[in-house]
Amino acid sequence: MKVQYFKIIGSTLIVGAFLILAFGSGESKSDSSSKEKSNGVSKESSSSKDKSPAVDPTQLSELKDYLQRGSWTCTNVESGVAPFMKGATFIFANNKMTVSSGGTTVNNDYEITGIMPNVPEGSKYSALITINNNKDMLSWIDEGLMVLSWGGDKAKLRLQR
Amino acid sequence: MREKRGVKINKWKLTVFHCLIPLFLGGIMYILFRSSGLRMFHWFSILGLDSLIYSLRSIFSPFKNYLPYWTYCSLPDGLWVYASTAALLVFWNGKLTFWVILPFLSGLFVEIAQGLHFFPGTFDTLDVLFYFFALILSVKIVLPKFTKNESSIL
Repeated sequence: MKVQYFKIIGSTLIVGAFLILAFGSGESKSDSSSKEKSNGVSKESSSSKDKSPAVDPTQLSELKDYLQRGSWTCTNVESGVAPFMKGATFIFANNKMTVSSGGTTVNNDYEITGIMPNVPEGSKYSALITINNNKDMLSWIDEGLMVLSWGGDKAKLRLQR
Repeated sequence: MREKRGVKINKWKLTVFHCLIPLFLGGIMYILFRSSGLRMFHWFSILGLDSLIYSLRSIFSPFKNYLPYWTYCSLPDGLWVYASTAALLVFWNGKLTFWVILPFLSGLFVEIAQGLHFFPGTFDTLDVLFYFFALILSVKIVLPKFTKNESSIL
């Protein structure tokens, strides 16, 4: 009888551990998007626009620190109509973004209005960023690489430091 | 080492190969390739593991483009059902009790609840198929270790 109790308790623990894993693999918020169905970054990026973003102060401070850690250089214009941006340098400091290109330097105000973790898939954050009233988006891909939409999403710039 | 019906069974090896390794593989696929909006990422953050996990994700994220969708969306769940079923089989010394199908039934229940919008998430037929095959495979692979004199653990 004692052995039977031991077996039942042990089995309950195993099933319980499985249920914890199943629970942990669930979405953390009921309004977050359902399981991703595509490998494509573009699809996930576009769907992310439907999400209502929120700015967590910790994430905001982390993101600002990430942006301000050094200057960024546009190494490629991934898409859109801004070929002249290739080679431009970007410096983020105190809610100002200084863009230098071809001897011209322009100061832009920027504000982060929303942060979405893991958008696109595999990146740490994407942030909705308002640059001189243009609504754009940046994706923190890794420590030295981000993708920034520019001019109200007219172009996508690959920035590296 | 345990002896049953004249068969020497190394429960530790069975546990490592059929429970811990599938559990680890399923977990690592979740950590590297699944959305960080999942509840487990919140737990990792509480444990202070997020910088380590995001570093790993950024290293491995390029590989995701080469993986079929099912390898990181359905296979990990299947591996967990496999591991749990195997753990129960090992725990019950190869006896087929109703406990053995509980991981499968739990997974099925969660999927149905998702389909009925009781739980957040999406019902996925592929997930259910993976649970089913995981149950069958676990029983087919682990059970003979207790009934036959199989020298190989794998």
